[in-house]
Amino acid sequence: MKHLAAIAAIACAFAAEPAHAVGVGVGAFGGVGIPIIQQDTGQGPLIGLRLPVRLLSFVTVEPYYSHTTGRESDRSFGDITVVYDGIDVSSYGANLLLTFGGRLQLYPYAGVGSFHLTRPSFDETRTGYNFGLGLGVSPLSRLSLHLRGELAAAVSGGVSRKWANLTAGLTYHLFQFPVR
Amino acid sequence: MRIHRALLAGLAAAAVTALVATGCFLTSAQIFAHFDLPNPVTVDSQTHPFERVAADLNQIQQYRAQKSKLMGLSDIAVVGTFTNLSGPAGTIEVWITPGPTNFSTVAQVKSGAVRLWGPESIGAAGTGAAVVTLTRQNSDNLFTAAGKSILINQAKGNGMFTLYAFGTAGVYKIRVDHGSLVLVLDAGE
Repeated sequence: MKHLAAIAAIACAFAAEPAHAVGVGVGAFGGVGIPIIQQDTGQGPLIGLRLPVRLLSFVTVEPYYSHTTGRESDRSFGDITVVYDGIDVSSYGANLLLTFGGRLQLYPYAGVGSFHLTRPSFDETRTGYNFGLGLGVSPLSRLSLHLRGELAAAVSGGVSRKWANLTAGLTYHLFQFPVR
Repeated sequence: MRIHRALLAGLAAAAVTALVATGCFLTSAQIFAHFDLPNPVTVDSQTHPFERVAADLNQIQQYRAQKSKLMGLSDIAVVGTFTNLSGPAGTIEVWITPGPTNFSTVAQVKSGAVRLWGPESIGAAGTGAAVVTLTRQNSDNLFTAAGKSILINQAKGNGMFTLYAFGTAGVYKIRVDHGSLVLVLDAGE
């Protein structure tokens, strides 16, 4: 019971912290990109950069760049194993985040970007869409930790290649108004 | 607070729009499928100069399941092991016609069909280069644009086409073990 009370008190303290109206930060993140119903590429590590620009206390626009290195995927039947090189994805674009809370934030977001998909003998640039949910914790005034889960879809014609991206990242807030 | 709710609704609407634009989550997919050649196949310039395979992709369960949603082929490869049993070094080719055909000579195949794949070099019988194992990676660059186009159109159509495999040296006897046409189906709505 004491533990619950302590957790609740900490959560209230974080949530009660007034949010800054505007600010600019820079962040880096890493994680994993997991293909969704793509039987010809494997999951792989994902890294990237973000530049969150808070326009209002609850609205942030966030240009980003990310790169996923897809691992090989094997398909076997009978005595045959077919090996597919993983698809690498480089993407850049911008997300719109709706942030709730103060030092502890839960935020849905969506974005659009350009996705460059490559592997030997395959090279395509597609329009892509992201949408997901993030959890931000700001233990220090200029630093925040972000955990996110998102769906990223690169579209071509009537079909898309999709990934579930799970990331963890740190953002350093360069400046924010009003100053804390 | 109203602005907040309106933005949240806008974000939800954008997500739904993106979902619609990208095809539904569950029905847009890249599905692996394979069409196996008879095993083994031996083409012999003296007695059986080419192997004819009447292909019907409808025999593949994955193809049948995705056919109504098939938008194209994301990847195509020919895999298998080719062994030159007798004869000099040469090459192997695979030709295609849309729908069923039944040519009786290599000359007829070359005039009435389109080269789908090859030529792939094979060494003289009895040498180390007489056995060629084709993987997806080394098979990939051997497809012709015209042949691939026929294959994609047939895959999107009734799924039926005819393949012809033969050697190009004057005298050849080539066995194909575990030959297969492997596909990645692009399915969507």
